[in-house]
Amino acid sequence: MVLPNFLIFLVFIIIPFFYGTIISFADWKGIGKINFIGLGNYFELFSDSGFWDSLLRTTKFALCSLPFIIILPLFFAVMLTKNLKGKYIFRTIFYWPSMISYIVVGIAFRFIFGDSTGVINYLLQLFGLPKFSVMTNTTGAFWILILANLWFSTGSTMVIFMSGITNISPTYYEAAEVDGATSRQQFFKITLPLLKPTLFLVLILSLIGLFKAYGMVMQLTSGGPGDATKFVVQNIYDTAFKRFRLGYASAQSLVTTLILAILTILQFKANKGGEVNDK
Amino acid sequence: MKKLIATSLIILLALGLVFANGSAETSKEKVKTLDMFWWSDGNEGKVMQSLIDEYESMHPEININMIEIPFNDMSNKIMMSVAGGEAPAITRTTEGISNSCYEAFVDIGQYTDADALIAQFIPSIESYYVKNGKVISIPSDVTANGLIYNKTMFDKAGVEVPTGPDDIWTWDEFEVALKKVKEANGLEYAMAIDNATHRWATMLYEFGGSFANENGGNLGSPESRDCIETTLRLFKEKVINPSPWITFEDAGILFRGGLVACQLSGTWEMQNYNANIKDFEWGVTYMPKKVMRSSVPGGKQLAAVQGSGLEKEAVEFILWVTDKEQSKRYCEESMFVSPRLDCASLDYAFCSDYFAVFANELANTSSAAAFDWGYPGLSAAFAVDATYDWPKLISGEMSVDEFITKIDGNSTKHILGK
Repeated sequence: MVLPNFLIFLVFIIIPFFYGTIISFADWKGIGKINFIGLGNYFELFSDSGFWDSLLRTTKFALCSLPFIIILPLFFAVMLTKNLKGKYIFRTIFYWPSMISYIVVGIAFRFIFGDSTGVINYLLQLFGLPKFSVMTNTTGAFWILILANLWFSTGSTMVIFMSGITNISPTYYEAAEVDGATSRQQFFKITLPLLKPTLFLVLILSLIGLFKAYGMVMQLTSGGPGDATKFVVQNIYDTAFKRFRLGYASAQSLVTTLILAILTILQFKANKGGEVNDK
Repeated sequence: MKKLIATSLIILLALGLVFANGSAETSKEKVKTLDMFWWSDGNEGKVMQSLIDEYESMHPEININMIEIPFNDMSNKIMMSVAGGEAPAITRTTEGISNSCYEAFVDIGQYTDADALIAQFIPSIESYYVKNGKVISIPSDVTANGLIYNKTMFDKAGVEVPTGPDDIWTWDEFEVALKKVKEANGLEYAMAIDNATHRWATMLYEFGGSFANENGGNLGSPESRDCIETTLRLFKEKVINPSPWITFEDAGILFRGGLVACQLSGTWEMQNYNANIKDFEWGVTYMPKKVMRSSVPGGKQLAAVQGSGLEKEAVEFILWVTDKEQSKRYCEESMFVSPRLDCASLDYAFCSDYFAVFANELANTSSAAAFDWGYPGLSAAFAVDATYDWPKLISGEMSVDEFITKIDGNSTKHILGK
């Protein structure tokens, strides 16, 4: 069982990682001779404001998105694991967007919020109302991305939380009810502490996913207006495949991976690996 | 007896299978399969396939396998295929793709008389397929930028467009006309320009400017600066719709939807608009001039890729398919302008008058276009900067000086390495 997984990991992760590391020390456009330049790409990287700006923008996007993509699915998961009427219909409705490709989500949101060709502006103009130019301003485009990502990811995160909640033994809640605990107290004193490993998993996966945001961003804003939503992965893509500097793009990828790894380790330490506090 | 018959039948069947397999293998060994990377904007894929079928019937030993690749992934795909040892024999390319991948392309001049070959095509596109003295591809069609307009809207506003090359309007006259059309039709904006690079370059050349020259970035020249400031003013005065440049909305959709009265686009829209615009009359007219007239030549080429092991066969096919008769058929049926000098006049099923306007624009194109679009990697690097920085200029986040300094700095670094 281990060998096939190891082979996949070796071929698709380890070898490309080492190859990328080697290329990061070279000036190479993808074709032709590889010209090794030592630490040249890394020196350039540390003074490249375009890269650091995109990393900062990505961090801002991740930090602004994270509370929403944790709290909303958690709320839905708690509600839909209770004995509510129609909960199965709501589970399906909330999960539905997760089954759509993020490319399609990007196109759909663009179709809704587009400046000249969007449905909202079409309807507003039909009734003689002023345009809602959300996509042409930097803040608006940024929050539309967060909204689209929330709409897309809520369903799958909700399912992970639901699985965590249903694994909590009902005896805790029965004992709490006997003691007269309110729903709010049950949530904060039982659900949340016992859900810590699941929360930790969702936190890590979401953070990594947000840092890697690319497909939906490309479809929805293409990094615009200007470079207001140009995140780190898009910056790397532009460097590699629009400016044809594969060596420099590899150095950017490696530094991004390193930052993500440090963030994950810090989270792991802070959460004690998602360990449940029994006290 | 039954056993004997059964055994004989099995042996015969086995022998038959062995020989059948053997003959299949023999014929398989003879057939050389040439992979060909392709993308389609319209029906040209079908036209090319019919030419391939004809070529294959003349050369039974050749099988050409068209592989559709999304246009945006072409450079990427070619590079990865070459790096991975899986190079296609042939690829469709543009000047942009060639600028990034030309080192992987076969020098066609090694297989034929390069000078005689180059002499067959229009001179303004030579820098697109000749790099460092090597013929890295052969042009299959050319495109030209130009002005497509909504006749119904212009008629309603009582605005007349130029009727011929002796009647070209100026940018000042054009601006007055656009404002009149906008007002008469109750439009929010009068015009859309597809993008901030290839299409805007038309305007830049008409103002006498350019992206760069052999000394480095040239946006800082008085002519280029005048064009940048005029474009910016037209955005601010709501004459040109900024959405295609800010939020990457499709300028073609704005035009087809009647949201703007004209579009700075090109020949490739003819087939699409002829088939899809039913709500109004449209046409093609001459671009205005400032210090000169201009278009931007573009187009597609066919290149043979190194490392496929079938370079000779690939070059032979490319030479055949871009030859006069095949080029004529390909361009007429696909609604393209032929790059061949001996195919200057073609019989299109529709829009012949419009193609004549585009051809005239092409004939009056600035020589600066050849440098900007022929210098390896320059247009691609410029496109990245312009795409991200024009919205900042429009929103006021960046000044004209900052815009020029940044982009010119990058262009100079690209050309002079400093």
